Amino acid sequence: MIFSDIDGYRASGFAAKVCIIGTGPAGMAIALQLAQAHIPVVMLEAGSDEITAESQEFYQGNVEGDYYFDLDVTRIRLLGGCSNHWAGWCRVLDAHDFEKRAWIPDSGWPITRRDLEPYLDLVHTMLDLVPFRPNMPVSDDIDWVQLIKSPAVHVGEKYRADLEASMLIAVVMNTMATDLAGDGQRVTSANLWSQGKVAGAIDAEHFVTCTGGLENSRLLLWSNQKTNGAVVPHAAALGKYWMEHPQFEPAVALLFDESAFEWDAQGEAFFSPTATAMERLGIMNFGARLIRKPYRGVRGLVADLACYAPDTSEWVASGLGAHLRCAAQIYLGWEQSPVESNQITLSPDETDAAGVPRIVLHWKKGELERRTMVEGLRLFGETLAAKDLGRLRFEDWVLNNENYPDNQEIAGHHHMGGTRMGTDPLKSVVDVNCKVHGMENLWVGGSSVFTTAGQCNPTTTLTSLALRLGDHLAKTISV
Amino acid sequence: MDDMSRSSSQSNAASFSRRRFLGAFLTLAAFLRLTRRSAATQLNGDETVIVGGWLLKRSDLR
Repeated sequence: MIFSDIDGYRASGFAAKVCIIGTGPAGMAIALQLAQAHIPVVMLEAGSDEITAESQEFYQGNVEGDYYFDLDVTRIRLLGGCSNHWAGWCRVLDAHDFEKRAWIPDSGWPITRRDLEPYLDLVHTMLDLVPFRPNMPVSDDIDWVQLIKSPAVHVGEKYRADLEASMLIAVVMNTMATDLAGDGQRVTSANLWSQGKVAGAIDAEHFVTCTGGLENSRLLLWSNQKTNGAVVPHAAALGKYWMEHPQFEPAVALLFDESAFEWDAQGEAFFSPTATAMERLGIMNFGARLIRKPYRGVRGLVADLACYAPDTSEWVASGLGAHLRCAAQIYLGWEQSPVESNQITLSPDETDAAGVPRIVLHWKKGELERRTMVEGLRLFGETLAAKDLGRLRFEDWVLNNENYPDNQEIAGHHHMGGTRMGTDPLKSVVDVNCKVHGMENLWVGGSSVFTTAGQCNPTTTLTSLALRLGDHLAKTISV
Repeated sequence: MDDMSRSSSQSNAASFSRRRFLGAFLTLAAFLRLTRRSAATQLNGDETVIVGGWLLKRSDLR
Protein backbone atom coordinates (compact mmCIF):
# COMPACT_ATOMS: atom_id res chain seq x y z
CA MET A 1 0.00 0.00 0.00
CA ILE A 2 1.17 3.51 -0.73
CA PHE A 3 -0.46 6.49 0.98
CA SER A 4 0.11 10.05 -0.13
CA ASP A 5 -0.01 11.33 3.45
CA ILE A 6 -0.28 10.24 7.07
CA ASP A 7 -4.03 10.87 7.23
CA GLY A 8 -4.70 8.22 4.62
CA TYR A 9 -2.50 5.77 6.52
CA ARG A 10 -4.28 6.39 9.80
CA ALA A 11 -7.68 5.97 8.17
CA SER A 12 -6.61 2.60 6.77
CA GLY A 13 -6.28 1.01 10.21
CA PHE A 14 -2.98 -0.62 9.17
CA ALA A 15 -1.20 -1.88 12.29
CA ALA A 16 2.55 -1.90 11.77
CA LYS A 17 4.94 -3.71 14.07
CA VAL A 18 7.97 -1.98 12.61
CA CYS A 19 8.37 1.62 11.53
CA ILE A 20 11.15 2.17 8.99
CA ILE A 21 12.12 5.78 8.47
CA GLY A 22 13.41 6.19 4.92
CA THR A 23 12.81 4.33 1.66
CA GLY A 24 16.30 4.09 0.14
CA PRO A 25 18.11 0.79 -0.51
CA ALA A 26 18.59 0.10 3.22
CA GLY A 27 14.99 0.78 4.20
CA MET A 28 13.69 -1.11 1.19
CA ALA A 29 15.87 -4.16 1.92
CA ILE A 30 14.70 -4.33 5.53
CA ALA A 31 11.03 -3.89 4.58
CA LEU A 32 11.25 -6.67 2.00
CA GLN A 33 12.87 -9.01 4.53
CA LEU A 34 10.21 -8.30 7.14
CA ALA A 35 7.35 -8.68 4.67
CA GLN A 36 8.83 -12.01 3.64
CA ALA A 37 8.49 -13.03 7.31
CA HIS A 38 4.85 -11.75 7.34
CA ILE A 39 5.65 -8.86 9.65
CA PRO A 40 3.68 -5.67 8.88
CA VAL A 41 5.86 -2.63 8.24
CA VAL A 42 5.22 1.06 7.74
CA MET A 43 7.81 3.06 5.80
CA LEU A 44 7.95 6.83 6.13
CA GLU A 45 9.15 8.84 3.14
CA ALA A 46 9.70 12.54 3.72
CA GLY A 47 9.68 13.26 -0.01
CA SER A 48 7.39 12.13 -2.76
CA ASP A 49 7.74 10.74 -6.29
CA GLU A 50 9.42 13.85 -7.63
CA ILE A 51 12.31 16.06 -6.61
CA THR A 52 11.10 19.47 -5.53
CA ALA A 53 13.03 22.49 -4.35
CA GLU A 54 10.76 22.74 -1.31
CA SER A 55 11.61 19.20 -0.23
CA GLN A 56 15.34 19.44 -0.95
CA GLU A 57 15.47 22.60 1.13
CA PHE A 58 15.13 20.43 4.25
CA TYR A 59 18.56 19.02 3.43
CA GLN A 60 20.45 22.31 3.42
CA GLY A 61 23.29 22.58 5.89
CA ASN A 62 26.79 23.90 6.39
CA VAL A 63 30.21 22.38 5.87
CA GLU A 64 33.29 23.33 7.86
CA GLY A 65 36.78 22.14 6.90
CA ASP A 66 37.66 20.86 3.45
CA TYR A 67 35.69 21.84 0.38
CA TYR A 68 32.64 19.59 0.02
CA PHE A 69 29.37 19.43 -1.86
CA ASP A 70 26.31 21.41 -0.81
CA LEU A 71 24.39 19.15 1.54
CA ASP A 72 21.11 19.58 -0.36
CA VAL A 73 22.84 18.48 -3.57
CA THR A 74 24.70 15.44 -2.31
CA ARG A 75 21.49 13.52 -1.46
CA ILE A 76 17.93 13.22 -2.65
CA ARG A 77 14.68 13.36 -0.68
CA LEU A 78 12.52 11.05 -2.74
CA LEU A 79 10.95 7.57 -2.78
CA GLY A 80 13.96 5.31 -3.22
CA GLY A 81 16.29 7.79 -1.50
CA CYS A 82 19.81 8.13 -2.81
CA SER A 83 19.39 5.19 -5.18
CA ASN A 84 17.82 7.84 -7.40
CA HIS A 85 21.19 9.42 -8.16
CA TRP A 86 23.79 6.72 -7.72
CA ALA A 87 26.19 5.78 -10.50
CA GLY A 88 25.63 2.05 -10.06
CA TRP A 89 29.19 0.94 -9.19
CA CYS A 90 29.00 -2.14 -7.01
CA ARG A 91 31.46 -4.04 -4.89
CA VAL A 92 31.33 -5.38 -1.35
CA LEU A 93 34.02 -4.26 1.06
CA ASP A 94 37.02 -6.59 1.03
CA ALA A 95 37.61 -9.02 3.90
CA HIS A 96 40.61 -6.99 5.09
CA ASP A 97 38.46 -3.85 5.27
CA PHE A 98 36.67 -5.36 8.26
CA GLU A 99 39.85 -6.18 10.17
CA LYS A 100 41.59 -4.22 12.86
CA ARG A 101 44.61 -2.55 11.25
CA ALA A 102 47.15 -1.30 13.75
CA TRP A 103 48.19 1.64 11.56
CA ILE A 104 44.61 2.94 11.27
CA PRO A 105 43.28 4.16 14.63
CA ASP A 106 39.80 2.93 15.54
CA SER A 107 39.64 0.49 12.64
CA GLY A 108 38.14 -2.99 12.96
CA TRP A 109 34.51 -4.02 12.61
CA PRO A 110 32.90 -6.39 15.11
CA ILE A 111 31.74 -8.51 12.15
CA THR A 112 33.57 -9.99 9.19
CA ARG A 113 32.81 -10.09 5.50
CA ARG A 114 31.64 -13.67 5.97
CA ASP A 115 28.71 -12.34 7.99
CA LEU A 116 27.45 -10.58 4.86
CA GLU A 117 27.98 -13.37 2.39
CA PRO A 118 24.66 -15.17 3.04
CA TYR A 119 22.91 -12.03 1.78
CA LEU A 120 24.88 -11.37 -1.39
CA ASP A 121 22.55 -13.36 -3.66
CA LEU A 122 19.67 -11.19 -2.48
CA VAL A 123 21.74 -8.06 -3.04
CA HIS A 124 22.38 -9.17 -6.60
CA THR A 125 18.65 -9.59 -7.10
CA MET A 126 17.83 -6.20 -5.62
CA LEU A 127 20.48 -4.32 -7.55
CA ASP A 128 20.34 -6.37 -10.77
CA LEU A 129 23.98 -7.46 -10.61
CA VAL A 130 25.91 -10.12 -12.46
CA PRO A 131 28.25 -12.32 -10.35
CA PHE A 132 31.56 -10.89 -9.17
CA ARG A 133 34.81 -12.48 -10.24
CA PRO A 134 37.63 -12.92 -7.68
CA ASN A 135 40.50 -10.44 -7.46
CA MET A 136 43.30 -11.18 -9.89
CA PRO A 137 46.88 -10.44 -8.81
CA VAL A 138 48.90 -8.10 -11.03
CA SER A 139 51.84 -8.22 -8.63
CA ASP A 140 52.44 -9.01 -4.95
CA ASP A 141 51.25 -5.48 -4.22
CA ILE A 142 48.40 -4.80 -6.63
CA ASP A 143 45.24 -6.70 -7.44
CA TRP A 144 43.11 -6.17 -10.46
CA VAL A 145 39.66 -5.87 -8.90
CA GLN A 146 36.19 -5.72 -10.28
CA LEU A 147 33.47 -3.18 -9.73
CA ILE A 148 30.25 -4.23 -11.38
CA LYS A 149 28.19 -1.55 -13.03
CA SER A 150 24.61 -2.05 -11.95
CA PRO A 151 21.99 -0.49 -14.20
CA ALA A 152 21.77 1.93 -11.26
CA VAL A 153 18.53 0.50 -9.99
CA HIS A 154 16.23 3.08 -8.46
CA VAL A 155 14.66 0.98 -5.74
CA GLY A 156 11.60 3.23 -5.49
CA GLU A 157 10.80 2.64 -9.15
CA LYS A 158 11.78 -1.00 -9.13
CA TYR A 159 9.60 -1.95 -6.17
CA ARG A 160 6.81 0.58 -6.54
CA ALA A 161 4.32 -1.90 -8.00
CA ASP A 162 5.19 -4.47 -5.31
CA LEU A 163 4.74 -1.85 -2.60
CA GLU A 164 1.37 -0.79 -4.00
CA ALA A 165 0.19 -4.39 -4.06
CA SER A 166 1.63 -5.38 -0.67
CA MET A 167 -0.67 -5.96 2.28
CA LEU A 168 2.32 -6.08 4.62
CA ILE A 169 4.18 -2.92 3.66
CA ALA A 170 2.56 0.50 3.96
CA VAL A 171 4.50 3.42 2.51
CA VAL A 172 3.52 6.87 3.72
CA MET A 173 4.74 9.61 1.44
CA ASN A 174 5.29 13.29 2.24
CA THR A 175 5.76 12.42 5.89
CA MET A 176 8.93 13.32 7.76
CA ALA A 177 9.94 11.90 11.12
CA THR A 178 11.32 14.97 12.86
CA ASP A 179 12.43 13.18 16.01
CA LEU A 180 11.93 10.09 18.14
CA ALA A 181 10.50 10.00 21.64
CA GLY A 182 11.95 7.51 24.10
CA ASP A 183 12.49 6.61 27.73
CA GLY A 184 16.12 5.57 27.71
CA GLN A 185 15.30 1.94 26.95
CA ARG A 186 12.70 2.05 24.20
CA VAL A 187 11.59 4.40 21.50
CA THR A 188 7.91 5.04 22.09
CA SER A 189 6.95 6.99 18.98
CA ALA A 190 8.17 9.12 16.11
CA ASN A 191 6.97 12.70 15.82
CA LEU A 192 5.86 13.70 12.34
CA TRP A 193 5.74 16.67 10.01
CA SER A 194 3.57 16.53 6.93
CA GLN A 195 2.09 18.96 4.43
CA GLY A 196 3.77 21.93 6.10
CA LYS A 197 2.63 21.26 9.65
CA VAL A 198 3.09 19.10 12.72
CA ALA A 199 1.30 15.83 12.06
CA GLY A 200 1.18 14.02 15.39
CA ALA A 201 3.12 10.84 16.06
CA ILE A 202 3.31 7.24 14.92
CA ASP A 203 3.70 4.20 17.15
CA ALA A 204 5.34 0.85 16.49
CA GLU A 205 7.07 -1.93 18.40
CA HIS A 206 10.38 -1.31 16.63
CA PHE A 207 11.89 1.66 14.84
CA VAL A 208 14.60 1.55 12.19
CA THR A 209 16.22 4.75 10.94
CA CYS A 210 17.34 4.47 7.32
CA THR A 211 17.51 8.11 6.37
CA GLY A 212 21.04 8.15 4.97
CA GLY A 213 24.60 8.71 6.10
CA LEU A 214 23.99 12.30 7.09
CA GLU A 215 20.37 12.32 8.17
CA ASN A 216 20.55 9.31 10.51
CA SER A 217 22.94 11.25 12.74
CA ARG A 218 20.85 14.40 12.51
CA LEU A 219 17.63 12.59 13.46
CA LEU A 220 19.24 10.86 16.44
CA LEU A 221 21.15 13.93 17.61
CA TRP A 222 17.99 16.01 17.57
CA SER A 223 15.97 13.25 19.24
CA ASN A 224 18.58 13.01 21.98
CA GLN A 225 18.69 16.76 22.44
CA LYS A 226 14.90 16.91 22.83
CA THR A 227 14.74 13.97 25.24
CA ASN A 228 17.91 14.62 27.25
CA GLY A 229 19.56 11.48 25.94
CA ALA A 230 16.60 9.11 26.16
CA VAL A 231 16.90 7.90 22.56
CA VAL A 232 20.65 7.24 22.30
CA PRO A 233 21.74 6.67 25.91
CA HIS A 234 25.37 6.09 24.92
CA ALA A 235 25.93 9.04 22.65
CA ALA A 236 29.68 9.63 22.94
CA ALA A 237 30.23 8.59 19.31
CA LEU A 238 26.93 9.83 17.87
CA GLY A 239 27.54 11.89 14.72
CA LYS A 240 31.28 11.19 14.90
CA TYR A 241 33.75 9.18 12.81
CA TRP A 242 32.05 10.40 9.65
CA MET A 243 33.81 9.35 6.44
CA GLU A 244 33.81 9.87 2.69
CA HIS A 245 35.86 8.53 -0.19
CA PRO A 246 38.21 11.25 -1.43
CA GLN A 247 38.31 11.05 -5.23
CA PHE A 248 40.78 12.94 -7.37
CA GLU A 249 42.75 12.73 -10.60
CA PRO A 250 46.30 12.72 -9.25
CA ALA A 251 48.11 11.00 -12.14
CA VAL A 252 48.05 9.82 -15.72
CA ALA A 253 49.60 6.69 -17.15
CA LEU A 254 51.09 5.68 -20.44
CA LEU A 255 50.14 2.05 -20.96
CA PHE A 256 52.41 0.15 -23.30
CA ASP A 257 49.95 -2.55 -24.16
CA GLU A 258 46.34 -1.89 -23.41
CA SER A 259 45.45 -5.48 -24.21
CA ALA A 260 47.12 -6.39 -20.90
CA PHE A 261 44.12 -4.91 -19.14
CA GLU A 262 40.55 -6.06 -19.12
CA TRP A 263 38.56 -2.92 -19.82
CA ASP A 264 34.90 -2.86 -18.96
CA ALA A 265 32.18 -1.55 -21.23
CA GLN A 266 32.91 2.00 -20.07
CA GLY A 267 36.62 1.67 -20.97
CA GLU A 268 37.65 1.49 -17.34
CA ALA A 269 39.68 -0.87 -15.17
CA PHE A 270 40.18 -0.95 -11.38
CA PHE A 271 43.19 -1.80 -9.23
CA SER A 272 43.62 -2.03 -5.46
CA PRO A 273 46.47 -2.79 -3.06
CA THR A 274 46.89 -6.16 -1.43
CA ALA A 275 46.50 -6.43 2.34
CA THR A 276 50.23 -7.09 2.77
CA ALA A 277 51.15 -4.02 0.74
CA MET A 278 48.85 -1.81 2.82
CA GLU A 279 50.35 -3.14 6.03
CA ARG A 280 53.93 -2.75 4.78
CA LEU A 281 53.37 0.85 3.72
CA GLY A 282 50.98 1.81 6.51
CA ILE A 283 48.33 3.01 4.10
CA MET A 284 44.60 2.50 3.68
CA ASN A 285 42.67 0.87 0.88
CA PHE A 286 42.34 2.60 -2.48
CA GLY A 287 40.91 2.00 -5.90
CA ALA A 288 42.89 3.21 -8.91
CA ARG A 289 40.40 3.58 -11.74
CA LEU A 290 42.02 3.77 -15.14
CA ILE A 291 40.00 5.52 -17.83
CA ARG A 292 41.34 5.31 -21.36
CA LYS A 293 42.07 8.66 -22.94
CA PRO A 294 41.62 9.38 -26.62
CA TYR A 295 44.49 8.20 -28.79
CA ARG A 296 45.62 11.75 -29.40
CA GLY A 297 46.60 12.05 -25.75
CA VAL A 298 49.19 9.32 -26.12
CA ARG A 299 51.55 11.33 -28.29
CA GLY A 300 51.73 14.19 -25.84
CA LEU A 301 52.64 11.79 -23.07
CA VAL A 302 55.22 9.97 -25.21
CA ALA A 303 56.84 13.27 -26.09
CA ASP A 304 56.90 14.30 -22.44
CA LEU A 305 58.37 10.95 -21.44
CA ALA A 306 61.06 11.45 -24.05
CA CYS A 307 62.37 14.41 -22.07
CA TYR A 308 63.44 12.08 -19.29
CA ALA A 309 63.53 8.55 -20.62
CA PRO A 310 64.41 8.83 -24.30
CA ASP A 311 65.12 5.16 -24.93
CA THR A 312 61.92 4.02 -23.27
CA SER A 313 60.00 6.72 -25.06
CA GLU A 314 61.54 5.80 -28.39
CA TRP A 315 60.60 2.18 -27.83
CA VAL A 316 57.04 3.18 -27.15
CA ALA A 317 56.95 5.67 -30.01
CA SER A 318 58.24 3.09 -32.46
CA GLY A 319 55.03 1.21 -31.93
CA LEU A 320 52.73 4.15 -32.42
CA GLY A 321 50.33 3.32 -35.16
CA ALA A 322 51.70 -0.19 -35.49
CA HIS A 323 50.54 -1.36 -32.07
CA LEU A 324 47.78 0.10 -30.06
CA ARG A 325 49.20 2.17 -27.21
CA CYS A 326 47.02 3.70 -24.61
CA ALA A 327 47.02 6.59 -22.22
CA ALA A 328 44.81 6.56 -19.19
CA GLN A 329 43.63 9.08 -16.68
CA ILE A 330 43.96 7.69 -13.18
CA TYR A 331 41.07 8.44 -10.88
CA LEU A 332 41.99 7.53 -7.36
CA GLY A 333 39.28 6.93 -4.82
CA TRP A 334 40.42 5.93 -1.38
CA GLU A 335 39.50 5.11 2.14
CA GLN A 336 39.21 7.81 4.73
CA SER A 337 40.24 6.97 8.25
CA PRO A 338 37.61 7.08 11.01
CA VAL A 339 38.42 10.20 12.99
CA GLU A 340 36.30 11.49 15.85
CA SER A 341 36.62 15.12 14.78
CA ASN A 342 35.05 14.42 11.39
CA GLN A 343 31.51 14.71 12.59
CA ILE A 344 27.96 15.89 12.18
CA THR A 345 26.67 18.41 14.69
CA LEU A 346 23.45 20.37 14.89
CA SER A 347 23.44 24.03 13.97
CA PRO A 348 22.84 26.19 17.05
CA ASP A 349 20.87 28.78 15.11
CA GLU A 350 19.56 27.38 11.80
CA THR A 351 16.58 25.09 11.42
CA ASP A 352 14.52 23.74 8.56
CA ALA A 353 10.81 24.51 8.12
CA ALA A 354 9.91 21.76 10.59
CA GLY A 355 12.12 23.31 13.25
CA VAL A 356 14.81 20.63 13.08
CA PRO A 357 18.32 22.07 13.43
CA ARG A 358 20.32 21.93 10.22
CA ILE A 359 23.47 19.87 9.91
CA VAL A 360 26.94 21.27 10.36
CA LEU A 361 29.34 18.81 8.76
CA HIS A 362 32.92 19.03 10.00
CA TRP A 363 35.08 17.26 7.42
CA LYS A 364 38.80 17.24 6.77
CA LYS A 365 41.21 14.91 5.08
CA GLY A 366 44.24 14.17 7.21
CA GLU A 367 47.84 13.03 6.85
CA LEU A 368 46.90 9.37 6.53
CA GLU A 369 44.65 10.21 3.60
CA ARG A 370 47.47 12.16 1.90
CA ARG A 371 49.94 9.41 2.54
CA THR A 372 47.55 6.83 1.12
CA MET A 373 47.13 8.85 -2.06
CA VAL A 374 50.85 9.43 -2.63
CA GLU A 375 52.13 6.03 -1.56
CA GLY A 376 49.24 4.28 -3.27
CA LEU A 377 50.05 5.95 -6.56
CA ARG A 378 53.69 5.11 -6.12
CA LEU A 379 52.80 1.50 -5.44
CA PHE A 380 50.63 1.31 -8.52
CA GLY A 381 53.23 3.09 -10.65
CA GLU A 382 55.95 0.73 -9.45
CA THR A 383 53.86 -2.24 -10.47
CA LEU A 384 53.30 -0.74 -13.92
CA ALA A 385 57.03 -0.13 -14.27
CA ALA A 386 58.19 -3.44 -12.84
CA LYS A 387 55.93 -5.35 -15.20
CA ASP A 388 56.67 -2.97 -18.07
CA LEU A 389 52.95 -2.44 -18.41
CA GLY A 390 53.45 1.29 -18.56
CA ARG A 391 54.71 4.36 -16.75
CA LEU A 392 52.85 6.69 -14.42
CA ARG A 393 53.18 10.46 -14.23
CA PHE A 394 52.12 12.32 -11.09
CA GLU A 395 50.28 15.60 -11.40
CA ASP A 396 52.20 18.63 -10.15
CA TRP A 397 49.87 19.30 -7.22
CA VAL A 398 50.68 15.86 -5.85
CA LEU A 399 54.43 16.15 -6.29
CA ASN A 400 54.52 19.65 -4.85
CA ASN A 401 52.33 18.71 -1.89
CA GLU A 402 49.83 21.40 -2.77
CA ASN A 403 46.22 21.53 -1.64
CA TYR A 404 43.73 19.15 -3.20
CA PRO A 405 42.13 20.81 -6.24
CA ASP A 406 38.48 21.80 -5.85
CA ASN A 407 37.53 21.38 -9.51
CA GLN A 408 37.69 17.58 -9.61
CA GLU A 409 35.39 14.86 -8.30
CA ILE A 410 36.39 15.75 -4.70
CA ALA A 411 34.56 12.80 -3.16
CA GLY A 412 32.08 10.08 -3.96
CA HIS A 413 28.87 11.37 -2.37
CA HIS A 414 29.40 8.39 -0.06
CA HIS A 415 28.20 9.34 3.42
CA MET A 416 29.50 6.87 5.97
CA GLY A 417 29.79 6.71 9.74
CA GLY A 418 28.10 8.86 12.36
CA THR A 419 26.31 5.87 13.90
CA ARG A 420 29.15 3.40 13.51
CA MET A 421 29.07 -0.24 14.50
CA GLY A 422 31.20 -1.49 17.40
CA THR A 423 31.28 -3.12 20.79
CA ASP A 424 32.54 -0.12 22.77
CA PRO A 425 29.70 2.38 23.42
CA LEU A 426 32.29 5.13 23.78
CA LYS A 427 33.41 4.62 20.18
CA SER A 428 30.30 3.31 18.50
CA VAL A 429 26.54 3.81 18.39
CA VAL A 430 25.15 0.46 17.22
CA ASP A 431 26.07 -3.13 18.09
CA VAL A 432 26.85 -6.05 15.78
CA ASN A 433 23.16 -6.30 14.86
CA CYS A 434 22.79 -2.57 14.13
CA LYS A 435 20.81 -2.01 17.35
CA VAL A 436 21.51 1.23 19.20
CA HIS A 437 23.54 0.54 22.35
CA GLY A 438 21.31 0.48 25.40
CA MET A 439 18.02 0.52 23.49
CA GLU A 440 15.68 -2.42 23.05
CA ASN A 441 13.85 -1.43 19.89
CA LEU A 442 15.89 1.14 17.96
CA TRP A 443 17.92 0.02 14.95
CA VAL A 444 19.93 1.78 12.28
CA GLY A 445 20.26 0.83 8.61
CA GLY A 446 22.55 2.25 5.96
CA SER A 447 26.14 3.32 5.53
CA SER A 448 26.06 5.40 8.71
CA VAL A 449 26.83 2.15 10.56
CA PHE A 450 30.10 1.61 8.67
CA THR A 451 33.01 1.25 11.07
CA THR A 452 35.51 1.91 8.30
CA ALA A 453 34.92 2.90 4.73
CA GLY A 454 36.95 0.60 2.47
CA GLN A 455 37.61 1.94 -0.99
CA CYS A 456 34.53 0.99 -2.96
CA ASN A 457 31.10 2.48 -3.41
CA PRO A 458 29.00 1.68 -0.33
CA THR A 459 25.62 0.69 -1.77
CA THR A 460 26.34 -3.04 -2.14
CA THR A 461 27.74 -3.33 1.37
CA LEU A 462 25.01 -1.25 3.00
CA THR A 463 22.32 -3.25 1.23
CA SER A 464 23.92 -6.49 2.47
CA LEU A 465 24.02 -5.10 6.01
CA ALA A 466 20.39 -4.03 5.75
CA LEU A 467 19.28 -7.45 4.55
CA ARG A 468 21.17 -8.96 7.47
CA LEU A 469 19.46 -6.51 9.84
CA GLY A 470 16.06 -7.32 8.32
CA ASP A 471 16.73 -11.02 8.80
CA HIS A 472 17.80 -10.50 12.41
CA LEU A 473 14.83 -8.26 13.15
CA ALA A 474 12.42 -10.78 11.66
CA LYS A 475 13.84 -13.51 13.90
CA THR A 476 13.76 -11.21 16.94
CA ILE A 477 10.13 -10.26 16.39
CA SER A 478 9.02 -13.78 15.59
CA VAL A 479 10.43 -15.20 18.83
CA MET B 1 42.94 -2.79 -57.38
CA ASP B 2 41.85 0.67 -56.35
CA ASP B 3 41.44 -0.50 -52.81
CA MET B 4 44.95 -1.97 -52.76
CA SER B 5 46.49 1.23 -54.14
CA ARG B 6 44.65 3.33 -51.65
CA SER B 7 45.73 1.03 -48.84
CA SER B 8 49.37 1.13 -49.92
CA SER B 9 49.32 4.89 -50.28
CA GLN B 10 47.79 5.30 -46.84
CA SER B 11 50.40 2.99 -45.35
CA ASN B 12 53.28 4.98 -46.88
CA ALA B 13 51.80 8.23 -45.66
CA ALA B 14 51.32 6.83 -42.16
CA SER B 15 54.88 5.52 -42.13
CA PHE B 16 56.27 8.89 -43.22
CA SER B 17 54.16 10.67 -40.66
CA ARG B 18 55.40 8.33 -37.98
CA ARG B 19 59.05 8.81 -38.93
CA ARG B 20 58.64 12.57 -39.03
CA PHE B 21 56.96 12.54 -35.63
CA LEU B 22 59.69 10.31 -34.19
CA GLY B 23 62.46 12.48 -35.55
CA ALA B 24 60.91 15.66 -34.25
CA PHE B 25 60.34 14.56 -30.73
CA LEU B 26 63.65 12.75 -30.38
CA THR B 27 65.41 15.97 -31.32
CA LEU B 28 63.29 17.78 -28.82
CA ALA B 29 64.00 15.08 -26.28
CA ALA B 30 67.76 15.39 -26.68
CA PHE B 31 67.52 19.13 -26.08
CA LEU B 32 65.21 18.85 -23.13
CA ARG B 33 67.28 16.06 -21.63
CA LEU B 34 70.24 18.41 -21.49
CA THR B 35 68.31 21.28 -20.03
CA ARG B 36 65.95 19.51 -17.68
CA ARG B 37 67.78 16.47 -16.36
CA SER B 38 69.69 18.59 -13.87
CA ALA B 39 66.44 20.02 -12.53
CA ALA B 40 64.82 16.65 -12.13
CA THR B 41 63.44 15.76 -8.75
CA GLN B 42 64.57 12.39 -7.52
CA LEU B 43 62.58 10.76 -4.75
CA ASN B 44 64.43 7.54 -4.50
CA GLY B 45 62.93 4.15 -4.10
CA ASP B 46 65.23 1.17 -4.50
CA GLU B 47 64.51 0.69 -8.16
CA THR B 48 62.42 3.62 -9.22
CA VAL B 49 62.86 7.36 -9.32
CA ILE B 50 60.47 10.21 -9.89
CA VAL B 51 61.77 12.46 -12.61
CA GLY B 52 59.76 15.23 -14.15
CA GLY B 53 56.68 13.77 -12.54
CA TRP B 54 57.26 10.34 -14.10
CA LEU B 55 57.77 7.30 -11.94
CA LEU B 56 60.57 5.59 -13.86
CA LYS B 57 62.87 2.65 -13.54
CA ARG B 58 66.49 3.66 -13.13
CA SER B 59 67.23 1.88 -16.38
CA ASP B 60 64.83 4.27 -18.15
CA LEU B 61 67.28 7.11 -17.49
CA ARG B 62 70.15 5.59 -19.42
